[in-house]
Order: sequence, then C-alpha cells, then structure tokens
Amino acid sequence: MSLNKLLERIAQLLPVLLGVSVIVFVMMALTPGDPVQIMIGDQSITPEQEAELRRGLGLDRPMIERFFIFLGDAVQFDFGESFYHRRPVGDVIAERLPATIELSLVALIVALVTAIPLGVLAAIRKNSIFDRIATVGSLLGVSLPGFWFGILLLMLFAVHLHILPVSGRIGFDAEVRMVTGFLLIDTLLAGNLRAFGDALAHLILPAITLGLPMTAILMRVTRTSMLEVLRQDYVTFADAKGLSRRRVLFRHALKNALIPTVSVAAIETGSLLGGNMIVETVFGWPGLGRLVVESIFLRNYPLVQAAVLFYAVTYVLLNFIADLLYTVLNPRVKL
Amino acid sequence: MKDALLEVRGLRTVFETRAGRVCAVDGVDVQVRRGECLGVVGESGSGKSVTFSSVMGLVKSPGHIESGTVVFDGRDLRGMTPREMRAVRGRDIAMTMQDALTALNPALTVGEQIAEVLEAHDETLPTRGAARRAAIRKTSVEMLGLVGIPSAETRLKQYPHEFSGGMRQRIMIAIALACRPKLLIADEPTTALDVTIQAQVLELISDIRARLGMSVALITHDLGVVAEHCDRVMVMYAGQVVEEGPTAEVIGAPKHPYTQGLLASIPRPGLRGQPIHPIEGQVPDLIGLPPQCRFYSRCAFRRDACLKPVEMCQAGPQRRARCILIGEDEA
Repeated sequence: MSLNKLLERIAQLLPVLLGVSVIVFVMMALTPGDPVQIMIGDQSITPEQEAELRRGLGLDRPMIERFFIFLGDAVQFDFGESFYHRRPVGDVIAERLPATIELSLVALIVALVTAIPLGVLAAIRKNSIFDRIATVGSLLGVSLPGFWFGILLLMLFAVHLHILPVSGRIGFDAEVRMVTGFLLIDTLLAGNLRAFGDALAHLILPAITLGLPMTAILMRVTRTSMLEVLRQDYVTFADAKGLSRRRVLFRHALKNALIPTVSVAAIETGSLLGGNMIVETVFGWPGLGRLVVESIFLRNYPLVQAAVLFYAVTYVLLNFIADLLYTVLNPRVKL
Repeated sequence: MKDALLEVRGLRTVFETRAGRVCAVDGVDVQVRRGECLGVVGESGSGKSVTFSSVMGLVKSPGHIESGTVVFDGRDLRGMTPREMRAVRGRDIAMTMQDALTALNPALTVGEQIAEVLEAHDETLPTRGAARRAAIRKTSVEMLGLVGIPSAETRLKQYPHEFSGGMRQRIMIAIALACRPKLLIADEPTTALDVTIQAQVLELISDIRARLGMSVALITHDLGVVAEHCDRVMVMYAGQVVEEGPTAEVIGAPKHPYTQGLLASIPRPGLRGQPIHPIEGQVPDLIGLPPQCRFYSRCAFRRDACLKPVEMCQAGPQRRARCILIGEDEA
C-alpha cells in the first residue's frame, strides 16, 4: 500500500463530498418548513424581529449564494453554527459521536460473533434442521424493520420482564466522569463496575436491534462462501493429507471463506449509520443518529449538512478499510 | 497374493442424485503390488477417480461406498474410524490431484502447506519448540529439493499463485511425498500441464518411486503415459474394470473391444495420413443401466449373448478381461 494510492483515494473522495453537499443542500432547501418559523413557534414577535433573526442565520440570502458561502466555509472545516444549540456544529457532533461509535462497535461485534459461527455451522450442516432455521431466521433478520423489532424487544425485556432498562445510555443515578466519551471505557477507568454493568445493560437491546440486519446478512454471506469453499479442491486435498477436521475447516476452509464476509462486514458497517438514526430514536440513545433526526425536524440546516458530510466520509473510509482488509486476507490481491 | 499392498474387492460406490442412483463404481477389484506402478485408464466418468477416492475414504456426499473391501498393507480400511483413517491418509497413502492450482490453498504459504502434513503425521520429529520447527523446516526444504524446486528456503514463504503450473504440480507432489507414503495415488498428474512439463513431472514421479520404493497408482486417460511408466494397467469403462494385465501385453494385444478401440483411436506417427478410428457412440448414462455388457451399444462384436451380465475372466497367466469373446478364443 503506497502513499500514492492513499492520496488517490483521498482525491476520489472530493467529488463524492461535493456531490453529497449539493444533494443535501438542495433537499434541505426544498423541504417544506421554515427554520425561523419553527424557532418562533407560538411566541409573538414583530416582523422586524423575524427579519433580524432570519438575517442572523444567513437565511435572507438566495439559495445559490448560501450554498457557496457554505462551501467556502466547509473547505476550511467551518460548518457554521447549529441553529438550535447556537454553538459550532462540529462541537455538537463531536459531543454526540462517542455514544454512536460505542453503540455501532458493540453492534458490529455482536453481529460478527454470532454471524460467523452460525454461518459456518449452517454450511457444515447444510440442509439440516439447524440450517433451515438459520436460513429462515436470517431472512426475518433482514426484513424485520428495526423500529418494530426494537419496540418488541423493549416490550419483552424492559416492560414485561424488567430485566433491561428502557432507554438512555446509563441510569440517572450513575456519576461517571467522561474521559473518552465511551461509557464502557470510562466506567472501567473509574473502577466503577456497577456503572459499567449498567452501561452494558443499556447497550444490549439497542446493539441487538442495530446489529440484527447485519448479523443476518453476514450469516448468509458466510454460509454461502463457506459452502463454496468446501467444494474446492484444496479442501479435498487437505482432507487427503490426513489433517484433523478442525484444521481442514478452520485453517483451510474458513480462512478463505471469511474473505467475502470481512469485506461485506466493513461495507455493512456503513449501513449501521443509517440504522443508528432509527435505533437511537427508539431507545432514546443520545448519539449522532438521534441528533440528526431531531435536527431534520427543526430544519437545523448546518447540522444536517455537516452530519451528512460526516456520514459520507465515514462510508468512503469504511469502503477503503474493506479494500485493505481484502488484501490482508487474500494474498493474491495487491492494492 | 503376498506382494499386494492394496487389495480392493467388489467395490461399489453410488451417488444418490436427483435424477436417480448413479453407480459410479460397480464391483471393482483393484490390486496394487509393492513397488509397482499401476496405470488406471478410462474416459471421464469411467469411475477411475471415484475408485481411488473411495480407497482414501474421501467420497463426498451425496456419494457413499455401498459395499466392498479395501485392504491396505494388511489392514481393513473400511472398518476404520474416521480418526484412524486420517492417520492413514497423508502418511501411508497420499494423493495428488489433477489441477495443482486449485488443490493448493491460495491463502496459505507453500511452507505452511508442507509443514502441516509433517505436523500431522511425522512421529520422528522432536515433540516441541524450536527443535521441532527447525526439523519441519529442514524436511520441507528437503522435499522441495527432491522435486527439483530451486532456492527452497525462500520459496517456502511464497504463496501458490507465485509459482508456475509445473512448479505447483511439483509442490503438490512434494506435499504428498513428505511423509514417505507407501502408495501414491496420482490423479491425472499431467492433464493440466504443457507437454514438455508433463514429461518432467512423470519422470519425477518414476524417479522418486524407484528411490523411495513406493507404489504408484497413476490415473490417466493417456495410454502413451501408461506405456512408458506403468508396470501394469487397468482399463475402466462405465464404472467397471474391463481389462487388466501387464502393460506390454495389454497394449500389445488388447483383449477387450474397448481397449482395442482406445488403442485404435490414438494418432500414431507411423500411420501418418491414415484416418484414426474413434470409438463410435458415447459412454452410457450410468442411471438405470440394464444388466448387460456396458460396452454393448458401442461394440463392433456385439451379439445376443452380451445382453446378460458379463464377468471378468482369466485371459492369460496375468491377464483378465470382461468379454464373452475371451472364452471363445480358447475354445
């Protein structure tokens, strides 16, 4: 992997970001609803005050002009102030980001540790009862809407069984000094095991809800690629060498079968970003996803624009990581 | 027979497919003697590969061995547990496959792929630590040297795709021979190779066979290869053995019409300009075969007596063939 390739990737990112900016800007501008009206709400103010407010937010200028002002600021990493928070958008996003990253990572881990063994087992026991259940299960996993599945989990584990909390990242009584912003780490740093357990309990349901579609997809990918690999001559040859079943399955078959799984996992991690908006809203999770949803309702243009750009960068980055992982796992490919 | 290393009797291997039951190997007897090279000849689908996969216990679902005995070096292989069988595979009986490109694992280095056979079987290795690793490394380098791969030390770290086709075939042979097996099953070792490389690989196998004193079952559809490298030959057709005997005798005076047809269909330099005579017709569908001579539909000498099952019969001191004509010769 050379520096040139890296620079090439970054260069490829620029048109993507420009395109995303245009689309988001136009869509937000075309969305009915006026941020100033939403801010005013029921308060009665004079037309002069309203005009002043509008001018303060820069909304009095024509759309094209606003776009180029936005673009000019954005290339200097200035994304403006959040209409609602009256603070730089970057700060607001940075504040919410750890919660989202923590949730996404846990969801990713949940998906990987369940999907890969299940997929391998389904492939080894092809057409068994287990395989059939897993196949139907994965179909359900992909098709169940996250908001509905999340609410079902909430009703069962939080409302009826009372074993898991309903919403938020941690109980109100817990006092944790934020260092990294990741509660699982901060509670451990503080040596507060009770708070750690509480944070973990808050994570379980949202992580499962968020990770479910990904688990289902990864399981199917793993199963299919494992079946494909098990038919290969090199697996037969490994058997002919008299190696243990474990070695044949894991060292010879799984190592090759995981190549597509890992690539898909990296790309699917991008789709967790979209899932976050729904899951964070259902579980009252104070992360970026919910912030974006709220901001859309408030027509908080600067925040939505910055957040979407952030999503785009993340998505491209994840694809890049997928390519890198592919070369690590597959010695035949060099970037 | 005292000098038999591998003795297969009445082997039947069937595949349950959607279209019906395919009896890919139907009552096959095979004998491989110590130190000899047995050629196994037949068209694609004649059951030659399946016969030897069955010997190795490597028939994959939906196939299974229905009946027959497989005795190797005095031991009954079919009565063995999977674990016991794994100890035989790779150590006592080794196999090479047709296409080394697909038979070598693309994600593992050549060194790892040689080392793991030694790990699995070689009991002379030191039991642990650096000494064991060094011994494995030493044997691996030796094996690559044996099959003629230069600068083995550095090549061990490379992946299969970094080698040429002939080199990969050599590596596969090196892996197969790493534990000095008593029997090497070489399944079409030259089919995927260029003609010049073919000769090298076959020479290599013959040479190592002589040096290690092992037996070889050479599966091929090339009678020229058989003539040059095999002591005895076994001809298979549609899941049955149709003729077997010493190579020179079988090729010099084939008894079975199928073997005669095979030999007649080889282009020969001496007969340049003359038309070659392919065998008319096709191999019969193995599903729902009638109980008769399997070569019936393509045979120039067919008659009503062929419409019942035909058994193998003695056709000389060391020869057998499956044809009713043989009895008549002697009469």
